[in-house]
Amino acid sequence: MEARKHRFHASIAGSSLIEDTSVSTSVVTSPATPLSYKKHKHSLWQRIVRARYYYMLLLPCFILLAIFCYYPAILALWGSIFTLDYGRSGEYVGLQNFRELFNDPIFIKSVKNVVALTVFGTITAVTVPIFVAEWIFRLKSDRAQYIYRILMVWPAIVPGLVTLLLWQFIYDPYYGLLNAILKWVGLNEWSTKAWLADPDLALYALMGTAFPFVGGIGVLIYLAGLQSIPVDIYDAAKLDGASGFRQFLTIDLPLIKGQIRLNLVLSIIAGLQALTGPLVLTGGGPVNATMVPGLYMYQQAFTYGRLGYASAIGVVVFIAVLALTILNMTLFKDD
Amino acid sequence: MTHDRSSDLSRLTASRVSRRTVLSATAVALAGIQMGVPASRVLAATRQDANLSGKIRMEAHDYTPSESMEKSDTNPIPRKALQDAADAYKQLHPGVEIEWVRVPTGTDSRVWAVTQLTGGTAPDIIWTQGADTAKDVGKGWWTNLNPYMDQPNPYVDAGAAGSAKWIDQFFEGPTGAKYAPDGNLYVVPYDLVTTFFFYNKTHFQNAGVEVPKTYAEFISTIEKLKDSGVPSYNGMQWSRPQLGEMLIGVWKDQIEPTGNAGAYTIKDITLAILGGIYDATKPEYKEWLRLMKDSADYWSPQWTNTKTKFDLQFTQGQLGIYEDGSWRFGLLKAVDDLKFEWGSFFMPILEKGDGVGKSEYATGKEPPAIGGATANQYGITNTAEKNGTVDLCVDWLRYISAPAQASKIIGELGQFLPNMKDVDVNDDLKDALKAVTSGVGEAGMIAYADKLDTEAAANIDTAVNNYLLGRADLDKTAQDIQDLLMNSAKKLAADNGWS
Repeated sequence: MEARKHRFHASIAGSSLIEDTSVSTSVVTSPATPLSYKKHKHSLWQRIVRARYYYMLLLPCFILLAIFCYYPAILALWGSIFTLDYGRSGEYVGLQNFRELFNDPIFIKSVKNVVALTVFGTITAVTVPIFVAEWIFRLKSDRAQYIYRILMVWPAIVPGLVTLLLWQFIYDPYYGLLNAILKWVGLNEWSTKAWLADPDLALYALMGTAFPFVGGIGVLIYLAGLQSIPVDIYDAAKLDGASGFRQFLTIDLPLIKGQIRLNLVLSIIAGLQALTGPLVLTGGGPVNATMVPGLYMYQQAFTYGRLGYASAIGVVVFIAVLALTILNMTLFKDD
Repeated sequence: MTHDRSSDLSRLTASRVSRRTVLSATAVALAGIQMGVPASRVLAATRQDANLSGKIRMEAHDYTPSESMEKSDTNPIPRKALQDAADAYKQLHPGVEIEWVRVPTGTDSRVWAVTQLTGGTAPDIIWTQGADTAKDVGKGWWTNLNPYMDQPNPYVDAGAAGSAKWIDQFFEGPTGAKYAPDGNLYVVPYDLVTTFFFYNKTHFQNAGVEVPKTYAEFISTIEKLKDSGVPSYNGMQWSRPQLGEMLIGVWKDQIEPTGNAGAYTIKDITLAILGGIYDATKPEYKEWLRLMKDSADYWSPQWTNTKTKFDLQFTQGQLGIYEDGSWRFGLLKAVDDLKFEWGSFFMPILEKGDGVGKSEYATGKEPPAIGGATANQYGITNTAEKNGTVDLCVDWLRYISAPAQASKIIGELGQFLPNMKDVDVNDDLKDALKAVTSGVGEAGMIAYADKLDTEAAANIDTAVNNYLLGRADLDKTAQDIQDLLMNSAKKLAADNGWS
């Protein structure tokens, strides 16, 4: 291993780095790294210069990130304090866009909607896959486990848009599957509902499109966590007479906390940035009943040509996602 | 942004005719005669200059030649007339290349155009709308076509409309309404569109109803359709402002239209709102709301969802009445396995009187024709300016607007009405053409939403829909709309210095 690393250094870094392989290899391979650095006290700049070839390898990635991720975000932050329209120079308005935003009933409605969607989406995306993962994990046959793992991922190859369009048919008031089932079970009053066109129901209908709420990726994340738990712990628990449910509560859940946190963060981010469902199924309607900040931002930017105002919406969503992520990381901090 | 290259063009058209030109012109003339085009028109086309050269990239929208001539669900009307025109044009001008640019499926054309124009990557000619180019004044995106419109279209017969000035080729009313507030025309208003009610004759027969002649009859019709168990109607679309115009149209006596050809502009309506003439709390406006509500109970329950595929529902025989644009004629005719007969009718008149579907405030006038040159309008972009292809683009647009070409291009699609005189019209659109070209279409309406700020219009729509759904009462809705109108008018007046 050590020899292979030396070759790697030599091949990519050239002779100058070979002179200092003791430091480089110790950084990579040994827990004694701090000691090595204490011996060779280099400044940050010196260390950067020494490792310049590694940084150069990372450079293309960071350049692309800067152009396509950081630059637009900074531009949005900057644009949010201007009135901007495509093709015209903007006028500085300070925090006016934000003041208007927090008095904008459609934006406030969109925030309420996205909170409802996020809470529902997060609860279902975090909880339901745990039970499915647990069920697969406890299957005795490795082959069965493998098959179910594949089945969990399989739906992911169907584009999300197709699934949404299927739901459009399922929700059709006259010919949809949902109303047919409701009629079949005798709920005649409910079997005539226009689920996506009724302002009182449309948001719930959007929530329902995630049915059966078993995200394949979520299941796999949990499953990976469960599979990394040492078997000895389960053996000890069994000797102590712990039931399956007890094992789930006291072993599985605490030991997959990292995976729960990951799913939680991903679900919150996905929820707050929700756009596709409302865009495809309702267009934010009826009467803004399913409007979400992402869609409202899109409308403001492209339909009304208010780039500055749209940027302000983007900044607010960014701050919300950041705050919730930090809160989540703090609450779920590893002991 | 203005672009005056009239002198360049004069120089080009005055250049000598080469032997190659004569030969190619002869070939085109013979080909044209073979295709049944009157010889005079073909000969008019041969009077062109062959020195024009360069590449044009065009987003021709509805007329973009289909990638295949095989009919399918995604290609219901295979079309190649524009490609034929391009091929003939290239024979006239061998140095010219024309490339079609297609907007990605599912993409909003305006969003796409704005993105391309902002990035400076737009095709030389793109589909747009006069209302949008009017909003873009000052951005430098579009070429001012006024100087070109004053020149002859060399591709029309001598003495025919357009032979002295290109602008004469177009119907005055709809074209006049397309001028931007700065007095410039930024689009070639190629064709016209209007709206109809398409109905399923089988459902009408089963429900025992006839084509309605009045708005009250219309309500009775959709009520009976609903009672017969059929999703009756996709809900009022353009008929909303048509109905409104038959009520608040009475205010027009007090509002001076300052647009071309008697068109009302955003400024006119803004000042009318500020002056208290245009007021949503007035009885005429409230009647408009009340009359829409009279019919709303009988609309399809899906009318509030803009994503509902009513076109599919109608084609599959699931919907009684489908309010849509004139393009539906072509699309319905293109469906081979349609299992019902269909017909069409125009917006019924609002009668004076009391009760459901009538109003004492009705003007008694026929409903105005929606439309105008709002289907395919072509603007020449800043890309053409940059590439120096403006003259070439203008010449190509003149070529396809000549009756010989336009008849084939517009007729093949069968969805729109020509906005050029002497161009053949499909039989089912002849009456509609008269209605649309006798006035200025929607541009002459004060109830049409394009006379308001886009965002305010959307918010008013939401307020109206809330009322139609029974989630707000009439007085509150009228007051909410009035507040939206007033706020928008104040902002527009302040931004533009209108008083």
